[in-house]
Amino acid sequence: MSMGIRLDEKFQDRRKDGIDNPFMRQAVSSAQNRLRDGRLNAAGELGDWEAFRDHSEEIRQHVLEHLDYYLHQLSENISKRGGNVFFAETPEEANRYIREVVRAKDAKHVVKSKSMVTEEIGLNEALHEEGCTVVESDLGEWILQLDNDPPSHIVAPALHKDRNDVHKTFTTHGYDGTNDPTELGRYARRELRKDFLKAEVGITGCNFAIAESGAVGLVTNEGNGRMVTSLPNTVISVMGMERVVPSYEEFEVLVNMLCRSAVGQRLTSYITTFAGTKSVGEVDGPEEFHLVIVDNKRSGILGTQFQSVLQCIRCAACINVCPVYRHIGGHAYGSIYPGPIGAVLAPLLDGYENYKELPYASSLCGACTEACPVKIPLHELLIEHRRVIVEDKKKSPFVERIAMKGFAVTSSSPFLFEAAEQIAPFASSPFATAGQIDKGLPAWTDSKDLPQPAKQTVRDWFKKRGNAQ
Amino acid sequence: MNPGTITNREDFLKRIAGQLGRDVDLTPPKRVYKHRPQDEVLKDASTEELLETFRMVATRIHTDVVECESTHLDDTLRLLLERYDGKTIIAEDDARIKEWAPETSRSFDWWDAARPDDSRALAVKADVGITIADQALAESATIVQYAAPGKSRTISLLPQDHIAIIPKSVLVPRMTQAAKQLAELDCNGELASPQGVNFISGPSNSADIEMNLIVGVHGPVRVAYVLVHDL
Repeated sequence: MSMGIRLDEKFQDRRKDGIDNPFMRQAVSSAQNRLRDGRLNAAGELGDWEAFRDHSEEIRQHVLEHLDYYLHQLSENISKRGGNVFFAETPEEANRYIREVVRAKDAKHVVKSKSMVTEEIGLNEALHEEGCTVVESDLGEWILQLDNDPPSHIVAPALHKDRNDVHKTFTTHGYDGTNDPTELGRYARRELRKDFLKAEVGITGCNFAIAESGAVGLVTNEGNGRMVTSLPNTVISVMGMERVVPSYEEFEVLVNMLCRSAVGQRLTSYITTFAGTKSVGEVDGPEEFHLVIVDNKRSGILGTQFQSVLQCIRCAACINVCPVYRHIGGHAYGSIYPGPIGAVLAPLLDGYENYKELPYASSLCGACTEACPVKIPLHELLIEHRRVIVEDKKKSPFVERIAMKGFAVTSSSPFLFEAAEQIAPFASSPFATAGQIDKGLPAWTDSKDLPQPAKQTVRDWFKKRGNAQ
Repeated sequence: MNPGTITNREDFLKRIAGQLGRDVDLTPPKRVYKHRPQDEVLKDASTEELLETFRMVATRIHTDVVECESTHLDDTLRLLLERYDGKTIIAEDDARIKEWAPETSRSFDWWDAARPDDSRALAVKADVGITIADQALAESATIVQYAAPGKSRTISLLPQDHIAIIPKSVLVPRMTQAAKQLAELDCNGELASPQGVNFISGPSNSADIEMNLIVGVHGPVRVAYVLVHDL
């Protein structure tokens, strides 16, 4: 499993691993097609999709502008409903608190439902240090956990594995059936059912917390979120601090957008809300509830030109339309947040040092921006990252800085520009075959060709054309 | 209920407000939205049209729909249980089930909050769980279950199959109407909304292996909606 946001290896190696893995590329493109088509159908069925996007955007912007108010209200109401709220500035603070809760309960078995933020803070490792078994109960996450492999997509985490991979993993774990997905699923059901019933502590993420009602909302299809919040005596939910909505009314709008954008469903099988501890006379639900609200560098994004990235509802619609993700896969991004959203978010949460290549892993085609249900201008934020990297941080790849500098000087002088135009076809010839630049510049040529500059410049061509007439 | 603890809040909120270029502001902000498209969806649909949508979407999400009048509910349930080969059945402790299905319900086990361990064990091994929907949403073929004292959040989750009885009168166009009612319970600070709400749309499923739909992962493998026209 990954530890924190960052995966290992250098971007160039990871990117190459992705491009050199034909199964993964096939799996990714077919999954992208299905998820994208599902979203488009679900959006079409809703009617005025653009009005829904506008409304979702204004809800998210309103919350971010008043985030202090809504987090205050949320914590008051959770507390009134018997829950404890812990505000954690750093992953270490969050993990320390959760470990203390687990220790106080003398818990040995923890069961989790899918949560990106707990991946982000490296919670599983912290709990292992506490001597607990931690079981991921989302089918995709469980497969990855048994295989010690990080997620490659935020909604379909095991996208890069096929049924034979899963069959092999399960067999090592004691399974003796076929590679039929339903049969594999039944095995997971039997195995994980034991974990749900045994766990002393359940841990969930949070799709949206409802401030006015003091409730946490989970969006799932498998039912593991319901198990984790109904069966263990102690439940801990971990949320990124921006994942709050004012009331059930805004919750409904965003849940609808999330389900349609993520998986093309009108609603997923289960939308579950739970508020604090169970009431007297209830068997199901937690006796003890903790909400951990995590900052982890999010507050540093507020009030900057990148604030809109906090509107994100983690639907992965941008990932599902991204031509770059299609070719390099999720692991290449080196972050648990891949695709366009990852390329914007990872450098903000974890520093440019580790992710300076990511804003360049984009063709700036704008498909991500168009797909986003909460209207984050993703490709504009990628350009802004590039500007910061080049101008403020001076961290762009050396070649690019020289090239950009060269272009600035050259293009400002008609004489130099003309000279460069004439040199280009010859300067590029060592890298070209039959008029295509296709070798020798691996960062570019491994994944695409570029026509070699023509021997005749446009202006020469135009001049001669004029003479001919 | 004893209030829970709140830790580290002050500094946390200060940091947020500081980034936003102001002091912490706890006056309730005005929620003025320019758009409200959710009220327009299925706005003018008749009850018959809502039912048609409900049936169509239920089929799409692999859910059986059976319809009857209340006088035939007893027989309808019996036939459905035979079809599902349901031997052990656990039902919500709701007097209406006995009233509507006096014969068929004789063999049921009943959820009993006074015997938590037994109730949980019965739900775990039951073939079928039976509940009455508190609300139903036409657009997504969803049933809504509110948590309440004496009621169970897991009868609709732990057994192999789930049968939900839906009185037609609880059908609304979409989640918008349900959310509005829930928000009204809390908007004056009373926190009167249920401790838990489950919006359930068909059986549990996953597409985590090669994007193949697996129906029945952690929750019910089969779900049936029994729509009762005169209730």
